[in-house]
Amino acid sequence: MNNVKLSNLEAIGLVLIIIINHLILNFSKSIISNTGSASALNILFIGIILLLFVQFLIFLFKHFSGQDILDISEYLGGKALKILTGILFISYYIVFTSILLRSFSENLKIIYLNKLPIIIIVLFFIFSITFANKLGIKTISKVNLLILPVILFCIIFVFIANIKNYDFHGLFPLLGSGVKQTFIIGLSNMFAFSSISILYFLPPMVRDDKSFKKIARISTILSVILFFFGIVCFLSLFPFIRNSKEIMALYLATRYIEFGRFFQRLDAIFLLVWTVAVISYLCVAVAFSINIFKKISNITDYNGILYCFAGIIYIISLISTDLAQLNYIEINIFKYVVFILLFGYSSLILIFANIKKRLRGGKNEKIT
Amino acid sequence: MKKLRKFLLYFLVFCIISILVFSLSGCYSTQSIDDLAYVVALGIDLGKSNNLELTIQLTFPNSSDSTSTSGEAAPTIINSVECASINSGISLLNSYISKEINLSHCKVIVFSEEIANKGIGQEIYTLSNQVQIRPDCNIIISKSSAKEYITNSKPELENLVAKYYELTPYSNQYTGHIVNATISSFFNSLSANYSDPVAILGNGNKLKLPSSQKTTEAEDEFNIVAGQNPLVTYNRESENLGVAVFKQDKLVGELTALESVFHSILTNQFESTVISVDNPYKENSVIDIALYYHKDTKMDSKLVNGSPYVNSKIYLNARLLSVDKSSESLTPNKIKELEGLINSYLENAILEYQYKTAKIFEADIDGVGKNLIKNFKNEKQWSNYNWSANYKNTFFDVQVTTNIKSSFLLSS
Repeated sequence: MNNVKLSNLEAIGLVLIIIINHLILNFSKSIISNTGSASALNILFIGIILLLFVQFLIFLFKHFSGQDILDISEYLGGKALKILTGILFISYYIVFTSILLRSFSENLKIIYLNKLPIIIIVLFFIFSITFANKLGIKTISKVNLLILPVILFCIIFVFIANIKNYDFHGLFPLLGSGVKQTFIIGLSNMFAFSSISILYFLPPMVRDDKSFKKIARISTILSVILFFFGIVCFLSLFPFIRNSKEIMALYLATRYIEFGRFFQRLDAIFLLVWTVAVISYLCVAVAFSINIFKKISNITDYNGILYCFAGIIYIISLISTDLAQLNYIEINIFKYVVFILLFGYSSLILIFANIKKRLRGGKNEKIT
Repeated sequence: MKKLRKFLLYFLVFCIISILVFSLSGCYSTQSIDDLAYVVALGIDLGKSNNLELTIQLTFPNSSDSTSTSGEAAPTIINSVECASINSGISLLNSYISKEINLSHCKVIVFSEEIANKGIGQEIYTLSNQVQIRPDCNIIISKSSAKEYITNSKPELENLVAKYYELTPYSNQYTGHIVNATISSFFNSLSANYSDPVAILGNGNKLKLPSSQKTTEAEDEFNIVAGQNPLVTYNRESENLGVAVFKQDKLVGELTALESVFHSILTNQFESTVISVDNPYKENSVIDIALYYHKDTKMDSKLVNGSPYVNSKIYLNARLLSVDKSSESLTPNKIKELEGLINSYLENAILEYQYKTAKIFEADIDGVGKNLIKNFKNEKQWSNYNWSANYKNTFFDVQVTTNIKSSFLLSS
């Protein structure tokens, strides 16, 4: 798996599927409850900061061509730091994948499968993850690329089909809860772009540095655009979104779609597409977890680990008792973990590794 | 590539097996439509011995099959229960009838005026939270009891009562005398801090008006609400006419059919209507004018000396419906005069309507607040302004621009 090379499109697809799932799984709700009517402005602001951050990452990776965060950790702090970084990322992927899986399953249960036990719904996804991951990350990324246009089309269709229902007054007052809330406290909304975690592991999987730069920039810009339109759509459609705790806003938006009196109730089709999107996202997250584990443990057969991860995800996803707990984890824990791990810890490793490299002779130093 | 092909093969096999499994065997634990009782109308009244009296109208099983005689309305079943809440009522009814109640085909939710006066916020939140209830389900406030409204709602031109309920609100497209008030629009206005909701005004028991109350002025012909429609011959006792005005979740007043047109114009829902104005060229005669949508109404709201000031610019197209001998002398100058007459008539009537919503109802049903909100920097400033209490201080100004296009077959 370590020798897998992804095309630029496949790599961009991996980042986009995560951001799409954040949109489906209502991360926009947390953003709107944080920054209110200024959420669209906030997304533009943090989008610019994110682009600068990604540019900074590209700069930091420049001296470590074809190496991911694990290799760089090993260079900086030896095997121990590599294992620590690997465990942190595996925990991050496994725990939050489980929580998002449970969150989506609960939503499915509320909407259509109210008589089906949650363990069965979750099990359906676990089977899919296990089955797909046996085929490897290359297959997952190719299939992901195959379904991504359909998912993107559906999301854009939901945005466009609701045009007559939009009321852009929902974007006012422009500064929402105030300047401080929008531009300083609102920085915590960067957690929605946790898809950049993929970028830390992409360098060895892509052709060269140029490809990595292209992938990082394009995927970030597309993620910001997608989230911006999502937030504008939700704020314009639902005045209650600022004060209530609704389930998937994207699903609610699909309920509003109708073309005359004959084409109504299209939401079931969209729910099927969202389900495929969630499966793809789960597969990507597990594939990266396996990839990390392989790197820190040097195992060759990853089947055992796959079953193990699938089991852990299944158990963790069933721990929380209700949606309120899941919302609490999403809003109060996920936000800070993303900040600490993706924007703090990982960038610090890259910075110190760059300093170490410069002190040891810069570009001429050989890294094993 | 090999792995992808293998995966696609597996996927194909999986799909074929799934299709075969589900198509060749019955889903033993899944409910089929035969196990469900579909509610087409839900009525909510104040209860006598409990909080609510819940009425449901169910379609009779197989009522739309080919064996039913054409032209004969399909039978419906009406059941009522006294209950503490909507959900407990449905549960009680479920234990009474032989099938499980399903609300996914519910077309209207009828509240009695009595319960609406007390507030229907809790019921609206409950119903909005139901996955089965569609966002386009209409909300009707009945001047009689909701049960009476549902009982007397007997379709005359359709076989299916569900279709009757579905089509009736669409009359707002060619009359403007009601609004297409859905549960989603009601809930959105209720939950926003810058607007108040409206609903369709209905009546389930035709009022017998004393002759003194019957309007004789042509301009007042449409100043009537549900129950006052001067129908001479009618079979169905229920009707919808006018708009029920809410201040948050409480019913505070009614708009007549004509005021409903003004509400539609100001909220950009207007399509067409017919009005009558006094004929300036002939005594004791009126001119009928068909008004059509031309452009969206532009509402500009700002704060002047701390008070809200709203300027509405309305653009309409018109056609003259009344043609007689005197129409031959309708020169371009006279058409211009007539346009001025229509404009000033509408400006006065709309101003009167807007002040009525502000001073009498104190309910912002035309979305003035959402236009004004852009003048505030943040949500704290807006909530401190207390729009709900300040709407009554609003000053209005209206400019109507009507273009008389032409008449119909005979014109000047």
